[in-house]
Amino acid sequence: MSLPRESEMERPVMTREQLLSLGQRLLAMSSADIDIVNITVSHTANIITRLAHNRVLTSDDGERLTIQIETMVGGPPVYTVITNQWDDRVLAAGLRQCEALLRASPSYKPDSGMKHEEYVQDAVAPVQLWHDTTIGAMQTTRETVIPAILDIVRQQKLHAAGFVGLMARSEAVIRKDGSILLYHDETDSELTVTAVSQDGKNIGWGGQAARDWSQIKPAEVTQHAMTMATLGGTPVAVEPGKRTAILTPAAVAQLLRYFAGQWHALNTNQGQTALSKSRMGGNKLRQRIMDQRFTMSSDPTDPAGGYRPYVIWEGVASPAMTWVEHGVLTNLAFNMPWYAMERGTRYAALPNSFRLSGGTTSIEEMIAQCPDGILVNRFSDVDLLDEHTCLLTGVTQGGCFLVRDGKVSKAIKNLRFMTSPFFFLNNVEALGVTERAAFGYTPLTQPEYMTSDGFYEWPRQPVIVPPMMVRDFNFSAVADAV
Amino acid sequence: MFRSTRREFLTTASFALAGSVGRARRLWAAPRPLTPAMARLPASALHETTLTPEMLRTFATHAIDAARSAGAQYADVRVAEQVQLRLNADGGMIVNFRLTPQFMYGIRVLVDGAWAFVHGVTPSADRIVTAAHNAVATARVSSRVSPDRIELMSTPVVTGTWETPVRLDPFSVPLGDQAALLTACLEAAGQVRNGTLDATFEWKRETRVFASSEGSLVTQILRTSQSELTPGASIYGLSAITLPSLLTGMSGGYECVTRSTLQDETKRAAEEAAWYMSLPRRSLDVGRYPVVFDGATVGGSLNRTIGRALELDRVLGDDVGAGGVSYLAPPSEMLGSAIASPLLTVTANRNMPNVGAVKWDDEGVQPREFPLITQGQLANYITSRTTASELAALSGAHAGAPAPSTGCAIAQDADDAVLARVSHVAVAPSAKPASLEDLCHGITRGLLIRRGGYIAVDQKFASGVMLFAGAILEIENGKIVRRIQGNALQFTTSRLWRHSLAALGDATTVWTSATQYWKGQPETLGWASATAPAALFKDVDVIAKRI
Repeated sequence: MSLPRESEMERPVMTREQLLSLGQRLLAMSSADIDIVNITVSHTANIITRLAHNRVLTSDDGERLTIQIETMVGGPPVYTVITNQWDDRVLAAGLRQCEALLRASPSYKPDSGMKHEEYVQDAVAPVQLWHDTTIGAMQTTRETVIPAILDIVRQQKLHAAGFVGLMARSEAVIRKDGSILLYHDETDSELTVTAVSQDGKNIGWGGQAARDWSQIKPAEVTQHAMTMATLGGTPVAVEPGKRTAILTPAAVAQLLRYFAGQWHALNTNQGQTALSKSRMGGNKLRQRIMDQRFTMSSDPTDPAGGYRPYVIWEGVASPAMTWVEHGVLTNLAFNMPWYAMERGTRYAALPNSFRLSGGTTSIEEMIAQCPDGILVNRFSDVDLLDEHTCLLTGVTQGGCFLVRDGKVSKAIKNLRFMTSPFFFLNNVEALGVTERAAFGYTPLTQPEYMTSDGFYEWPRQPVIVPPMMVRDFNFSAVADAV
Repeated sequence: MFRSTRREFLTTASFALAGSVGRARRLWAAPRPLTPAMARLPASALHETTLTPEMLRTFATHAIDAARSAGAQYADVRVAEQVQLRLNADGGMIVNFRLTPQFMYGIRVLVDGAWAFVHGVTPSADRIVTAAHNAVATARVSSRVSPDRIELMSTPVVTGTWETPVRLDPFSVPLGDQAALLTACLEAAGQVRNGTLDATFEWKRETRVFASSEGSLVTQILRTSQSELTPGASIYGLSAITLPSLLTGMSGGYECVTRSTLQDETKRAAEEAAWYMSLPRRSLDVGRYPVVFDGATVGGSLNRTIGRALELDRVLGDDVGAGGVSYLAPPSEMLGSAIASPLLTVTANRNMPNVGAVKWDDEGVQPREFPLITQGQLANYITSRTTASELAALSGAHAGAPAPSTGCAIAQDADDAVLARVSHVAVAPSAKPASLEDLCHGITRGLLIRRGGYIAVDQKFASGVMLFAGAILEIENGKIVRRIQGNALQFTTSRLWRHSLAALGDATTVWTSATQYWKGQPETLGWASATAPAALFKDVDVIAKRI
């Protein structure tokens, strides 16, 4: 049996009705004495094109499906089947298997003590993250956008590499009465271009990401990458040290992607994050943790930075949260239902997606204001050195420049850095206009995996941040000559 | 996104794993005791295979026929049915249990010099044929903007069936027996004050069919253990010391976890970890020190640096917009040159019992054991059919140029893109007696790294920082005297392996470890394993973990 499609060209993932139908079909297969708690279905379709060497390297199109069935005999779920197989025989076999196991299990006392209905404690906010323009672009980017990018870069006698990704997803949690408990659909897209000079010594990167593909400007992205690849001549090595750094939104996003783990309430209260009061525990709630110009929040209904309004496997609503207000820590994420109950507070998902407030200074104005500093277009390979301080290391990539007397002076060789967001966000000289940052190639690291809330693969959840100029940014070494 | 069922990190770093159990708890069953009835159940009783190998072969041949009839000059397909079983136990109870049956396929076509790849999850001939047609249409569009042709290195047509040899199928072992073994190991560690153990059994059985338009059609039944038994020590419930896992990702059956000494090894390792835990702590002054890596650290570090830098698609610039390039480029200059100490000889293979053991890779090439580094000189790259042809052209002038594809084309899952990946590397140990203690013996002040290898690199793999280790210990006059906190190692890759490597341990120090790493865009995980002895490095930069 094939996955149902309303219209393959128009909607590459299942509709709400089709998801509901699947759930009801599963329920009909189950034995009368076995309750189905949740059927969670997630259906994702990607249309992806990779570029390298001024040509299409390959495409990567397809769908992924996850069906999770939770069963019980009274009380909370005790057995789970996860499969990607839609076929009646497979689903029926899965149900029979977990039913057999259930019948072999004695009654037990679940660890959480919560019934499923208690998990959904907030009304799920309505979100609109589906854009037909993104679906339409799945059919057209290869004919229009990609040839244009390659043409422009070739004309500049550069080599183009890049990534054009379009995604659609629908998912639902279906409860035992056969109705849909939670439903969500979304689209997302990302375009990145890497321009490489003929001698391979200069590499420029540009990228944009948006739920709505029509908001992405391929010509802008391509031009930015080419500028980064040609500005300032052949890169020269400069001495590392604490310097003023001008960071683009893409660079800032790479540094703040470890925030989700930092806001983990249990870890924080156990002394394991930079927001812990000490290594013995406690927290820094109501203390200033960053420059007072910053407010940081997460809101699933944010048109640009919105996200699934619940945590799918938990079936718990993700309320809008303000994490930092005028530099003061206002909330931690009680992302474990039992811990939220124990502490008498409401559940909140980790801030994998968030918006950090900005200012009005353009990057050009920051450069003009900077007597001596380094412009960083992007960081790569950023990893967590110390969770207690959120100390990070990584390297500049895709454009790094010396700024002298208000102008870009020259391209410089990549630098390794070692810093903590809680350090440089207290050393802010200027802030620009916030935008959703493109991540490009940014695989999950182990610390991120622990806090990813089910987001394991491309695309990453939206992060909206401003460009900024910060002082005393710690560039610790030349990257390829430590 | 929701692919944790087959995307989980199972690495040599258990600080991650410990948390993953907590985070993923709702994906698994809630804790429950094991009743006699349940204990007698093998996992095979809980999983019904609905797709026979013959059905998978039929899907594969439909895909190839469809691609060819649509105009593909070349097509290949991987079709797979797999089931994974993961369980944790404590006190004779299964505390987490997850069974994940899946089906998937990936079709790759070459049309007028352009590749396209389409994957799916529906076991339907119609859908697979449609996917093949779509792939051809996409490749045709791409070919208009891709003027250069792609040459595939020729390879013999292969047919047949191969199955990972196993002595005991873990899916036939009663869950109660598995829980009892896990519990016995946990109890062995529990006998040690402050001793800990991260214990997981994880099994995967996959029937994977490969077919190509050249006529290859092979079926492999692959069985792996991704089990882990990581001993350590902690106080206040926080893991502080961990030692290399006594089990690692490998091919095989239940015999991977049933060696008779396992409980004794667990207890001894927990005792060792608890002793490390009892040592005084301090931060070391920044500077250059001699550093001894245990075998797990050498293997992990080698794979994370040189190993990945030798993946030829990366070397050729295919990954410049994503995971990066390589400091070991261009091949025409690097092949035959000294990239490491003459002490270092490294071979690569996909032999049993390594986790990536296969008879045919994901392009139908029969892998062979081959030298990567011979006495410090670069002997070959990690190649696939696509990249090997480019290497042959580039390195034509090099005497004794490497032979075609090394059989390292890997799609970790059948619906993943096929990429050249490190599978398993083996470092030759010293022929002269050299234990871990011997390597530490001459050190006035230095470090011993246990279970390291988690390294942040740069875009060329030219430099890195070793972020974490299970234990960093201070050596003073040849003896372990303290444990170190607040320091990390920083290095340039070429200097570390070429100039700093001062001695290798003997066969008694050899350790096999396996880890997963991301590659491609979108990123996909793949296994890389290593068998390596301990090693002494001189003058390694020790930095402070502070701004």
